[in-house]
Amino acid sequence: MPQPLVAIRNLSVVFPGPLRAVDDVSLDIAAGETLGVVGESGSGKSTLAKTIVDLHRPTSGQVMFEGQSSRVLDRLWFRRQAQLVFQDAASSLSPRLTVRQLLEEPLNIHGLAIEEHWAGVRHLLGAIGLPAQVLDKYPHQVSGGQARRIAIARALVLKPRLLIADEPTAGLDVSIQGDLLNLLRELQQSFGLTYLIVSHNLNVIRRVTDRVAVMYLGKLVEIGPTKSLFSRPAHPYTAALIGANPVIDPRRRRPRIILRGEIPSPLRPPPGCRFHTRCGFVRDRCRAEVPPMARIAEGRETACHFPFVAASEEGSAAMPDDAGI
Amino acid sequence: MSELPLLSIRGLSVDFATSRGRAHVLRGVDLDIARGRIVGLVGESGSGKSTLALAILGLLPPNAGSVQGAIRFDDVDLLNLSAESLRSLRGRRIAMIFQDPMTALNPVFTVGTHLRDVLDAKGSGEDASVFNKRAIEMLAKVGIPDPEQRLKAYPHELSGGMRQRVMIAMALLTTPDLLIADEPTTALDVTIEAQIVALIHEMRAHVRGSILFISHSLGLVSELCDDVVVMYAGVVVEQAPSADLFANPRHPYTRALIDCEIGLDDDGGQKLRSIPGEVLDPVVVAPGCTFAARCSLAEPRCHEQAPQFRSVAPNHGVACFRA
Amino acid sequence: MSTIFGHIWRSSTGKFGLILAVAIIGSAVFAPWLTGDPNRIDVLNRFAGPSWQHWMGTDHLGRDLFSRILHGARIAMEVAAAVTAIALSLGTVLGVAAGYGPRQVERPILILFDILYSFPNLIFALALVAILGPGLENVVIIVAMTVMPHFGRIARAQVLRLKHAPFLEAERVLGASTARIVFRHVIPNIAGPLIVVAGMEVPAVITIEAGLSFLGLGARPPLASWGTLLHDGYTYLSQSAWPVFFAGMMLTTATLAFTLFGEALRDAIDPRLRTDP
Repeated sequence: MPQPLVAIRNLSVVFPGPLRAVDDVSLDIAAGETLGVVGESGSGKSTLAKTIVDLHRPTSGQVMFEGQSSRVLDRLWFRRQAQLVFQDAASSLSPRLTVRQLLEEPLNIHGLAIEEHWAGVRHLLGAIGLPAQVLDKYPHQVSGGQARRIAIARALVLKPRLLIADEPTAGLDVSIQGDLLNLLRELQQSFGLTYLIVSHNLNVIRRVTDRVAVMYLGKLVEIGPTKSLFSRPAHPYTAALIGANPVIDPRRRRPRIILRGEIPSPLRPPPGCRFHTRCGFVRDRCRAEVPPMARIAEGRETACHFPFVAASEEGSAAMPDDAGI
Repeated sequence: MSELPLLSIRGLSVDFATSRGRAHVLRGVDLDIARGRIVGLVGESGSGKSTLALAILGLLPPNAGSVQGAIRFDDVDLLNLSAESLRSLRGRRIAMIFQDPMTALNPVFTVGTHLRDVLDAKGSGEDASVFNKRAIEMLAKVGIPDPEQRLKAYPHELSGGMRQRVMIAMALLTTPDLLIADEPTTALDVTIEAQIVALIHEMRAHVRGSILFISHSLGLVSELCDDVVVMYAGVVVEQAPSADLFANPRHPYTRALIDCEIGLDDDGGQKLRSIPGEVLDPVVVAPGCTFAARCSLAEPRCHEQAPQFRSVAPNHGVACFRA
Repeated sequence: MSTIFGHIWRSSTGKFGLILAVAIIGSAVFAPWLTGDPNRIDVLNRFAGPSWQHWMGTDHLGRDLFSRILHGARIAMEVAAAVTAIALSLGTVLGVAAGYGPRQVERPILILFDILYSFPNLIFALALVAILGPGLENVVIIVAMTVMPHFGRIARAQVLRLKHAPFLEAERVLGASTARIVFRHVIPNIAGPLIVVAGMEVPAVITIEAGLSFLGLGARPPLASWGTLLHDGYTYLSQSAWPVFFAGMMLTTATLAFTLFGEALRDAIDPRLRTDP
């Protein structure tokens, strides 16, 4: 296997509290792939994204970019490799600068001559579908969809290799979310980007990603190729998430797994498997022992003592229909 | 529908005064809610679905300039009702659940106080012990663990899902004829959303009336609702029983909206659909169909004349010339 | 900018304050051209009442009061401008450092603010004059020190509000240095409230300067500060009430004008800062 673009090793991010927002997460992002991260509130998915771009310091473990820790890399060099598009794109634009100034800002920061690089920026604007008229507007004068495109354009001005999008479709109407997802795909092809897409929207994740990582209360609980993970989830939490996703066509509905209870506070995570308080298949071992990530099939790993997909890969103990409560 | 509908709205128009001029948020809404049904109201931002809910409740903000049309609730015209009668109607017969329970719950009152207020407004005149028993029963019914303890809790001490359960408990205590739920799960996590939707489903048995479930999620509406109403730019464009509407959408907007959803078989091979153009600016007065500018089937008359809402099949109505 | 001006102009008290403030600043700037030498002594004409020759009369040395009062406006405006500029810049730097910097930086700055804040302005100023000696330059330094914590605290509170704003995080992700973030993105976004505070501080500074000069700790004779005019007038009150009357009226008018203007400016820029009931 070639060296991954990003290698995350035993990464933990602990905030005062102590709140273990990200707890011992290891995963790789291969160059050119689209990795999705799904999870609910408190899962640590946004913290993971921000730690990769060095907005949070790892408490332990590391994020390595092409084999080198991001904390020892040259700061500006690293910034040109990985960029983040924030969930709330409109408020990620400095309010007193015009769109033109906002787009010049990355060039100025990196000491790149504007005359020399502006043609590239104009090309980028065309690719992103931003009319030249927005250049002289202020962030509060553009629509939500345009603000998102401006944020994407800013992130791409530096020609990064990894683009992280935190909830790229949050707050967008269904009738225009397709445009944005198509755009991300086109940009990936024309700029050779690697994506990390963080979202709670399973439809989006299923559609645009190659692989998915599922997080729960700071822990990575399952990772694998999107298609296989969605069709045969191994972790009961993954199965519940997929089952909870509403489906329009009544003939396509699976029996819903309705998890009991609330998501525990990340300040007081349960011992053993963090999911055991809500799991329909909980056994004594789950309450005592933290399940490690283990390989269950080609490219698939899960942190569950009793996964649905058996390690032998044969015929997998399919998910029972009356799963859960 | 032989029976008289519980709620019948005809030609409801609401304008708001804005700095840019009069915003026509509702442009003549026709809508019937039959008794004992869960009716889903779907629409994107700017469709006017929340304004419609507020109009039914008589809670339109003060800058709502002109309100025209009729809202008949069990043969009472809500638009001509005094503020006093409306308030009593809200406490007894119409209840509402909001997207963000934190704005609807008063932060300085406990859960118990909120529930007691609901019973007081109903004028049930029960003493404290009977009240406590009913409140605890109701909290248990909506799936709140340790209901006795929770009576003493303040809203900020509860999670989002628990707050929404308290809202539902309050709504159910009024035993309403009409329960309006405005995006009740939008702020919640998916697994909690599933719980709340299951709860609403379960609660049908306890609510003798109807539920108006407002959502932007077609999947959720399809799973939960008996009937679906689709709104676009202040107009109801289509109404039909859920199964019928999703299997056989007649309005071009409904069809386009369903096409925009990411299908289960969609493996990323094709481009995702979207609806080109933007929602009609509410300040603009459009003589024709509000969707005409974005509609792929639009013909000249669509831009000149507004299509009437008409029946195309039993219980299936559409406001489109081409349907 | 034009909208802020329009907002002030639409409020009747704001318009009144603005016109008066412009008139005072204008007369201060053009005092040398508008009047004669404020220090020309004419002992034969002591304690004269208002006349065509001396619009406001003369003082105990026969100096023209109108001229002295306009030159007093000059001193008052210079002191107000210098104090506000020093307090605003120092307060902003310290406030931003306290808000954006690490705890080790924040703590000593907050303690400094508390110390400066805990003394009543005038007492503190008296103590400092005792150390530094009287004189206008010292008045400027002293008054700047006493009002600086206002700016510092507002700046810090505004920075704390912004500290985790997504747009600042976005700049960090792009690689912006802390200095760049502070000067290009933080300060422009906290400038509004600071300008408002500056506008509100001007009348207070005018009064403190006059007070210190009255006590003989500020402007030294023969400089014509409103405070020294009041002091001299007070000494010879039995001979003529005109110096006290005109100097007092001027001080009151200036304070009123800048207070009304400052309040209108606050309402125009940031109505949330309104403190009245």
